[in-house]
Amino acid sequence: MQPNKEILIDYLDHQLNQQDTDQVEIMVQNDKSIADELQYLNMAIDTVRLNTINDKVLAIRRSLSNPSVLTEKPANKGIRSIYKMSMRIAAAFILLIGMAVLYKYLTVSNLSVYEKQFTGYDLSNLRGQESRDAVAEAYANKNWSEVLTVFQKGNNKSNKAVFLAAIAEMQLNNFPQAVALFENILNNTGDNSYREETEYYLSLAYLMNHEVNKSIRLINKIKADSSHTYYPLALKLSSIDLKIIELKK
Amino acid sequence: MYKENRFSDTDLIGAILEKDSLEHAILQLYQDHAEITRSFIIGKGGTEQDADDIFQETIVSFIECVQKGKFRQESGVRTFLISISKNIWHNEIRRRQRAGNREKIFEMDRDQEEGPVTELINEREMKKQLNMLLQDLGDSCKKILELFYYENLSMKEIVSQMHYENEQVVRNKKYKCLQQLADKIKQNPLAVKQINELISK
Repeated sequence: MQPNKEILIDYLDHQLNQQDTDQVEIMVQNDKSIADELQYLNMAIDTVRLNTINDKVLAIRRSLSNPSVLTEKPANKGIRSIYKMSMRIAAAFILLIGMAVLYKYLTVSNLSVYEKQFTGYDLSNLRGQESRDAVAEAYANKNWSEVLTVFQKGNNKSNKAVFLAAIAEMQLNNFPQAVALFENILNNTGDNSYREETEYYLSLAYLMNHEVNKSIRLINKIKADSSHTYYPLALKLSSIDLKIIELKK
Repeated sequence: MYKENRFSDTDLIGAILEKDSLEHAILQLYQDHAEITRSFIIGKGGTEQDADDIFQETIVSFIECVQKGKFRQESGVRTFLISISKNIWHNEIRRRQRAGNREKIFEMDRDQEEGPVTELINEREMKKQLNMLLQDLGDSCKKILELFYYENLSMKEIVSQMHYENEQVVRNKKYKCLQQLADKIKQNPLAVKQINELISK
């Protein structure tokens, strides 16, 4: 090993101090053989760098030997397929949901809800000790017009008589009249009988009388009170259905 | 390094200069430009294998060009890569013709405007042969030189990575390996000729 070769290598590695660096540069200028040695060493260093880059490129070329990888990684492709499939399922699901919502929107109306929820008040619900008066008799016979006639002619304006008259109005599809009678019961502070029955049937009467907000308020009041006689029936009234009716107003 | 994490041309150059991102940059070069340059080589009479080899050399040349600051982004990366590919393919054809392989498969419209590229390719041709000399040094020599001259590791880091006794051992080994390589270059007539051609330019 010639000492000057190590100095040349240190020169190329920038390991020499300024004085030694200057000396090397003078030697290179004055001695072609040293200049050639320096050139060979420099070429050797370039060769190392080039070879390393080449190895890295070759490694990636080999990893991409499957032509399809040049544009897309297989694992990624698999993920994309799953993603696409998921998106399709999601789109189909959204479409089905959309169709269901549309169907619901088109089919729900105040009438459909009313027909589903309204059941005629059964006189057997009358308290056991209560005797049947003329209004009750007409009601028991389901003679709705007679109920109203007797109620209007008679002096019996008890909550019971008013309530039966209101139900008779509902049976005859006279909802504004029914609403007015039910509201009388709720406003009658001297008599608390038939209030819970009235609240439930009034909510339905409001619905058919296109007073949806009032109906919703009453339904929510009943739903909030689990001891309410009509709590189970009120629970069957879908809030979504009521919202749809509200939107359709 | 997929669609969601791609480099712009400028970022790609930065990634090549930062050696930690080099693999990502190479992968993107393959993904974005391999097909077009391969099509060019095959269109000029090359085989699939030729196209793959030329593109590999093109990438190596491009990286070297970037790392030496010779790519100034006056043209786009793709344009530059195609230009390099053309020149490498042209040299390959000439080499085959010189070797007596007279099959006329290519009429090269050599890109005379790419002076720096042509110069780079001449250097590449020479270094390609020099790489074969490097392989003869053995794995430990090759590794030390690579860690020092490409990865820029210190002697201390090389001692730790390659389990040598101390820094002086590594330093001596490095001297010896580099001198061996330089000697091989000097003893190779073709390499010497090409070096002389370069020196006389």
